[in-house]
Amino acid sequence: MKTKTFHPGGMHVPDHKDQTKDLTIIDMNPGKDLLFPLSQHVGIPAEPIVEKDQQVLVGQLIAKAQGDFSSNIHASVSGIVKDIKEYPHPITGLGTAIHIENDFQYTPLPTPEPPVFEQNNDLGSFVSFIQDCGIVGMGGATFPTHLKLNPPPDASVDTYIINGAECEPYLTCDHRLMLENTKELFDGIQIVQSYLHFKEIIIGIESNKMDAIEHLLSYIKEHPIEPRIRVVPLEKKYPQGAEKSLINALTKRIVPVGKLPFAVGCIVQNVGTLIAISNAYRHNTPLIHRVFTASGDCLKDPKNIRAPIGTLLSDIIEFCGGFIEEPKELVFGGPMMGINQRSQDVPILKGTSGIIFLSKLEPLNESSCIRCGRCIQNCPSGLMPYRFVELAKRNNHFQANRYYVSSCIECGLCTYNCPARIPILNYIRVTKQEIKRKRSGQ
Amino acid sequence: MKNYVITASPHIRSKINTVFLMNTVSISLIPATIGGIVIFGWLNTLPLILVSIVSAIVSEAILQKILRIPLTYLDGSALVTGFLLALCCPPGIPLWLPAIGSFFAIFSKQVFGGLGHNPFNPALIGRAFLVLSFPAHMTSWLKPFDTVTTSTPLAVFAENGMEGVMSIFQGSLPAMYQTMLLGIRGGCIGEVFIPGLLIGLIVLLVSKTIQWYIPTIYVATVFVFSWLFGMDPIFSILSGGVMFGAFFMATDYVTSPMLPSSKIIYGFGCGFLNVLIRFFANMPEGTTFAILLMNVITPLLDNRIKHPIGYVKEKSS
Repeated sequence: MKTKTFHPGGMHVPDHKDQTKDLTIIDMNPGKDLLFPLSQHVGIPAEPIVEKDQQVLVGQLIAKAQGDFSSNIHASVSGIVKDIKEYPHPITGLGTAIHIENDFQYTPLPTPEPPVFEQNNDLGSFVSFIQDCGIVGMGGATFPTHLKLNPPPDASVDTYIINGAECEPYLTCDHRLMLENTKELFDGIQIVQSYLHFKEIIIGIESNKMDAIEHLLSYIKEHPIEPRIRVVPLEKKYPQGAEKSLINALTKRIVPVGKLPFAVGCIVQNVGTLIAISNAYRHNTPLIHRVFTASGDCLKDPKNIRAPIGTLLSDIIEFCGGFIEEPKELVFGGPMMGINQRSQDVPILKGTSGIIFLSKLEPLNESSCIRCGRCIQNCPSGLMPYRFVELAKRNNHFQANRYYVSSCIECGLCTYNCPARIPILNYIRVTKQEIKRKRSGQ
Repeated sequence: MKNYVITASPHIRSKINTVFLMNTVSISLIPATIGGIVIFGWLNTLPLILVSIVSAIVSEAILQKILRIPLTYLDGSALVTGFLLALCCPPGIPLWLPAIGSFFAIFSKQVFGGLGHNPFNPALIGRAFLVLSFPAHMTSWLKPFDTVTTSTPLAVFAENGMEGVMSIFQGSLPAMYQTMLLGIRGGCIGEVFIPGLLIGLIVLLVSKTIQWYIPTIYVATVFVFSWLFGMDPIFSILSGGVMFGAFFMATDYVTSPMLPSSKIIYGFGCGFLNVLIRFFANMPEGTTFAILLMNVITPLLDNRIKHPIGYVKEKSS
């Protein structure tokens, strides 16, 4: 089978997907307490519109987007608002969140919120409907979807790319969604297509998900759907799911440094996002559930789970039967780009694609760079990562700009591959922060 | 509630570490070594190799202790240095030669700060030191399957030209190629058995330990320029240490450039200097000094800015 991939850089990382790739998605009920951080997306945090001790229902708007570069947050259960204060946040460490105590009734709103969408051909009202529903990129980057579906007037967008690459090890939630929610996936594509009229629609899937590729192909054959949709198998290669890599793999186009995919006429969206769009459009449901993979070598029963957003990690661990062995690391997201959690008191967010429990800590003993060049060979952005380490060690962070440090997408391959175990990406992060600090100081 | 460990991503690492890479190089040397042992006899080769390796590891341990830097003498790099040095020594030389050669090789690495900081390939520094200090020992070559000394085909070429070389083989080209390929000639332990060297190269390439640029460009350059200077090009790449140097010495991570385009320039430079030394300097072989000279400009070759993917030339306004 012919597969496509991006160039240069990237490599296959052992994917550990066997644990969960054949397990159907299971619905999970949350526990007594749920947390809704106000910042679950890229951009400005939402502002709470409920008060302490107020009764809320399923689907009720509890925090309102602040301007365009922000997103609404809805309650995923019915119950009482216990408090609005600082709680542990899975990404920022600490952040304001709305604490809701579940009444286990799951009473829906009498009239759905947002109001029923009047189907028309106006892109503007469709986009604001998507914003009302609080939909953000479900792949993990959580870029507000309404911004992605609203290209600037000077961009001529012709290609719609559906991201089913799922290149992160352990994660299988997109894989399962493609197999189980095929109808919603294609429905979502057709809804978006009816507003944006792309010339080409490509679903890119890595070849370790052959069953999903075949399933989508036969679905297309059996159902009368948009003829422009193509399913393209991709080589197994990390970080293929990164936006710029995926565009290059599927269209050979190269997004210029510092530009958005609009610049090369592309919009990229995750399969989960499209299913959320379909649900919002057909059933007036805001984004209050998501599917994620709970896996790793410590968990008793790894699972693909659909749970209300806001469900606490401790409840998920209990739902998966606890641990075989006490994990050392709890990772939100995949093991390559995910974020470690200090405690089990954090909620899943709109962008949580996986929860990985790892028993092994990676060694931290850094030795000298032997100049093997692996970081350069594998860098998907075409950078010279070892240079940033040299410059950072000499406290010469600003020089890193000459080596285009801002082009780093932080995929982590340089650190993954370094035989000297140098945490190259950490040096890059420090460098970026130092540059930001100096810039703001000037 | 229990607190878990916080580290930054990525949370998994490749199994390939420095020790693994060094050991891969050592393993890739084994086929050529076996060839050398068979051709020159185990008594003339094996003790030499062992002394060289042990001396390298012991020297590294002592020097690291004295210089108070982390003790990494078992990370495989000293082993590779000792192994490589032994393989580019003539068989049958007194054992104190590889012992002090290895010490000097390791010394040349540690004074610059240890692995990763040395500007010159340690094994080649060790060999250069021995060649310059003990030229008589380092140019006495054992005849294959025998205990008498002979001269290397390249030495014959330097004295009597291509006719002199062909006269050894009664003017038969196939006989000459076959003998050279199988390494039935005077030479260093590791350089003579060409099939073994090729297997080693394949091991290094398939395991992605090295990239193809330096070895192929190096050998191709020697081939082309030998031809232009009137030497049989196949004889040229089969003789001396060209292949050994191109596969195992010039590809040393620390002392060769990292960017593909720089590797091509570096490989070309090594091959070109090698041919120049062979034809115009007063020594028959030039691999050692060709690579050492190119080591000098490695930092220069690496001192470039690579443009990222999607780089757009800034408009000068």
